[in-house]
Amino acid sequence: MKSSRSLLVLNTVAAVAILIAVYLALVQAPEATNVVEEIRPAQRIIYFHVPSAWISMVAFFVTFIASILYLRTNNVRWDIWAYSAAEIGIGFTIAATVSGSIWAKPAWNTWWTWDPRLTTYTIVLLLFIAYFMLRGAIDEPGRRARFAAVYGIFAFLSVPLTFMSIRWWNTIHPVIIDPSAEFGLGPGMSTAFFFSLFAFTILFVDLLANRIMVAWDEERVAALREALTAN
Amino acid sequence: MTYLAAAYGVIWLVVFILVFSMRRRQEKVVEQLETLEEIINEKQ
Amino acid sequence: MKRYFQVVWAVLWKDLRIELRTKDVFTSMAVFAALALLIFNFAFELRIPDKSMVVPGVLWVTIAFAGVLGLGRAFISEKDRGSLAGLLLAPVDRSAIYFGKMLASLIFILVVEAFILPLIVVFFNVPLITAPLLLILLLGTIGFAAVGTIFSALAVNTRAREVLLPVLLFPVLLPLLIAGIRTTIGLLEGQSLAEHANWLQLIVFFDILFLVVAFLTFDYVVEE
Repeated sequence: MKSSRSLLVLNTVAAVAILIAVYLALVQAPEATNVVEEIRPAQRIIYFHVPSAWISMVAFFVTFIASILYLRTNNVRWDIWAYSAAEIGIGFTIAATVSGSIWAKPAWNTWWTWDPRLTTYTIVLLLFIAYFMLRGAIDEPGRRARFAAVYGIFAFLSVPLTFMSIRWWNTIHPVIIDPSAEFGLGPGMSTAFFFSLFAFTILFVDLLANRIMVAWDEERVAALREALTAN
Repeated sequence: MTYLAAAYGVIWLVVFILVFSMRRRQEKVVEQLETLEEIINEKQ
Repeated sequence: MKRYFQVVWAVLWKDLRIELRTKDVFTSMAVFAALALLIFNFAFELRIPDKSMVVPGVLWVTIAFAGVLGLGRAFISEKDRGSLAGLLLAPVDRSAIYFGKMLASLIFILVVEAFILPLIVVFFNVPLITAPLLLILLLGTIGFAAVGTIFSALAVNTRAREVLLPVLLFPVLLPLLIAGIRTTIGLLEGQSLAEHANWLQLIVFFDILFLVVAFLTFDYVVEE
């Protein structure tokens, strides 16, 4: 576990990385030449939208692994990892879905599209919500952790299947052109893009570490409370 | 242009919400810890 | 090994026997399904050129909702009567209980499907009862029962109880529904099952994957 000093370092690094990423995305990255003039600024959404989506999937994966580890070891630390990652994951899923919708408007003049990626993020959001509803409906901590872990495993495994099925569905009813072709990465954009990806990853690790620290403190308080009332 | 601002705005909003909620939890936990310490001291 | 199958059979037979006596679950599922079909019939009556176009969706949605209704029964009565504890004492792997319950749910849903299919043929005038379609329906229902049974065990043991089941189940079941609907569309249009081999593989993969995961995790759900 990280001490508060290394947490401070991590916070600073994450903040700096994000600031650099913003600069690269908004200033340094070249304009998108393959799209119409007035929507060129909007193209820059990609530098933050895609990393958000990426992080949400990383978070889900962390929840998945932590769930398995919790069931195997029955160690509460893995449950903490699982719900902490899920909390952050749900945030970034919302960010990815909403920013994706906002991207869709200038790109294809519609607020929503049943594009496989956007649809899958929505389902991921629903899965996260279901995960927390399940947790919220159980009072006993051991059972809550176990049930959540079981659900987390099923939920994560369903995502690739869902994505594939929607993808196949769409090739028969083609709705929209492949997004990356329209707002794609031209030359010179990769620096901003990959750095943004990197910055978001650091941000995720930072948020996760902080969240886990707080969660541990909460668990300790709960345990102390129990010990006190038992006496 | 407004789209850009809106999209970034949303993402920032989410990050801030996450950070602030963590802040609030942290403060609550510290407060609880201090209360507990008082109780323990009184018991001794 | 033999003991394992005995437990599975015992669990399955107990649920079937109770249902044969009371017919509670089947009646509610069947009536609900019939009502749903009626409502769908009117919902689409005036707005679309050809009613048979909506049949794939109507079929799978009706089964999904009626099925969820029936899944709850798998563990509710056990919980209320505490009879699960007795089952858990049996010296076999707990997953035997899961498979017994899952097979019971599967049979119930299949029976309701046998009831729904003729109704749809009559209401919507489509040739639904063909071998390929029945196969897809069977495979899809297996996946439905596989995931639904273990999620039912989860939901029933929460404060929210059965109300939570649809919330947990439907997002996870989506690939199954999509595959089922897509293949039904194709089959109704006269295409062969072979043309939908990839969808078939998806459904089978889904079934096997989640049966395995359920087998591995069921213990953690019923441990007390």
